Amino acid sequence: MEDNFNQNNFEEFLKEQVRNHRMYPNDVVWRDINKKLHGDKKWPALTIAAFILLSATIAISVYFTPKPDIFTINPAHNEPKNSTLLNSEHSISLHNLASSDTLYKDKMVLSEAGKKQLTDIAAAAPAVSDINTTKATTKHKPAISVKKNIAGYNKSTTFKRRANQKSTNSYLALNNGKKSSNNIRNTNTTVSPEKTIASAVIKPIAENLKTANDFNDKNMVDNFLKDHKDDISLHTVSKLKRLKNRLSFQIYIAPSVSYRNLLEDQSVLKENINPGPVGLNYVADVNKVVRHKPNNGLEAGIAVMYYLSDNFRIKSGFQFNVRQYSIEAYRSNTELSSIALVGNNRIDTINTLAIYRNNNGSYPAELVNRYYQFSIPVGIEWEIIGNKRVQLNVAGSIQPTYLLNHNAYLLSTNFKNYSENPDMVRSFNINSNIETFISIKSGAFKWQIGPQLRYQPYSTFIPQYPIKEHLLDYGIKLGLSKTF
Amino acid sequence: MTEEYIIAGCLHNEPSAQRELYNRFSPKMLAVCYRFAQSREDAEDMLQEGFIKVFTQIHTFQNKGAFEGWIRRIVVHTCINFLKKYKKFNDNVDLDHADSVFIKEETIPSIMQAKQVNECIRLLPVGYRTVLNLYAIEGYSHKEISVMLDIEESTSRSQYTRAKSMLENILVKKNILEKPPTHTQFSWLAGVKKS
Repeated sequence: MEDNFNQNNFEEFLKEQVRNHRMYPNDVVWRDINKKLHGDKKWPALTIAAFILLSATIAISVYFTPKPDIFTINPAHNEPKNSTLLNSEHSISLHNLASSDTLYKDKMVLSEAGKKQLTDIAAAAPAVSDINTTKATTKHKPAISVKKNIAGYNKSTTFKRRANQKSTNSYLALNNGKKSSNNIRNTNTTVSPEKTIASAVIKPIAENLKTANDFNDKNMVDNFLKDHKDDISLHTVSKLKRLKNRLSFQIYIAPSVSYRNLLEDQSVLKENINPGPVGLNYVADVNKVVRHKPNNGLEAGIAVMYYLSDNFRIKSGFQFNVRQYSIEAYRSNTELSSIALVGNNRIDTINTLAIYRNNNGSYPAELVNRYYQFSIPVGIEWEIIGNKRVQLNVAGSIQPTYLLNHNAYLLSTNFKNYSENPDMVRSFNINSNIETFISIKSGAFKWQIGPQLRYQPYSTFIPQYPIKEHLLDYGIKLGLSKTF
Repeated sequence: MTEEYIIAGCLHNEPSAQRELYNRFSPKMLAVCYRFAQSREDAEDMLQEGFIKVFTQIHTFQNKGAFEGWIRRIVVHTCINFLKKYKKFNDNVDLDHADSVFIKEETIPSIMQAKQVNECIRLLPVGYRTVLNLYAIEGYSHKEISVMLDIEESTSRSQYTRAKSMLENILVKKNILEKPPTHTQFSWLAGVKKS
């Protein structure tokens, strides 16, 4: 048998207890509701950026990887053309020319005119001494590209030689003339980057017939250089110029989206800390109580890069950041708001006046926590893959940061109010950055574009404030650099 | 922003009005869902379904009675449907063995009394809890509950009696209620502790 009085009192008791119970849902709930009601209108910027980067990486890997024989001279291009020979200027670009042993171990790039010069010498030898230069060519492995050149030429010229013996002799005779020698004197030979042959004055071919005969010698190239060392002037690049070649200047800008991550100081719960006038409210997760929205940010800076090697660079410079996020709040009457400070094994409380509530105010208000920062990033860049024109890079940096403004809104300890308290904002901080980008060389400049992530591992606020705010920015970085 | 303005905005499917309505009522409604749900995640799922129904059915609101009450009824029905859909009632305890359900003292969380009462309610088996929530807190009759839960009216009554008994025991153990002397029948509730 139920007793009405008993029953009603019990129900009243329960109703009284639960009537004002409130719980604050995770912001994800509203986003899902909004998505179902209005669809997802968010532009998938990061997805598209990642897709573009992936596509570019594949494209670079497939189409821009240098072929193994890229430095081999194609024999088909070595056909002598007297008319162009006589009128052209010849240049040879060699690497590491200082040591003849290493001459052909490294890259050797012959300009077309330079190829003609060498093949012309090679052609002269068999024409006079009737020696098969293919067999006579040294087996010196590093000189393989030269061998191919000469061999290729001889293959094409041997059968012509007999038929055109007369014309060849005429050609040689012509080479004895002043015109020919003048042309060859104008030949420029350059070494890049360590040594440069500013000008290589090569004796007329007629005078070099003896040299041409020396193709039989397996150290043909060494002897050639040795005999002409007086005619070749080598200029050592000054240290200053080398330093300039290794330094480049960069300007960049990165529109970004700024997020924040809030963490509570859980050590307060673990340690036996004496509570202050206002106890900490850890019943709810702070991220589920507040309603914050990401906002647009910006990063801009200048940097100087130093090339440690072809692939590694270090860089440093000056950078200016704007980071911000929005807070959905409510305007209310002026209220007393308490902020707990945890430290020295106790909790202290400071009171401020607040005119914004987290919930249930007079009317909605949007607050913005905007930070202006100045930083000095120090970082490295690594070129993963690419050629002279297009490269794929990754980079990272550490950024000591100074906060230029301190007017941020802080949440009170009971999660009910927002108030400004400049003393609670930390002036110096550290940020870290990782990025990947594609760089494209265009004339004297190099452009770069790619996504970047910047994270602030230390809280924006002083360590005693129990809610830790870590800023996070996703952005697309656009940069322009130039070597000094 | 007034309630009429919010309703008008929601009728025009305006996101700002919908957000305002959600901000205003979601904390209370989540507390309702939480009393029915097994976990906070379930409660948020219930809340989400409930508010989608509120926004899509708002044109059926007749301006008769309180708007909050209308939302609350939708949310409660959503909770019941959620429990039915995911067969949460399978966790129910046989009425004959309800008294033998053992609840450890330390599982009762030490938080403020209002929240403590809620947590104590949530310690009940889901069948008891649902009937208790509907009858004692939401104010539905046993007849309405029998229709909502597809059970006999007598079952609803007996489940409520058992739920109440179990909850009293928990509240007494937690010193929220004082156990009355045995000779003063039904007078012990006068000794309810106030927080």
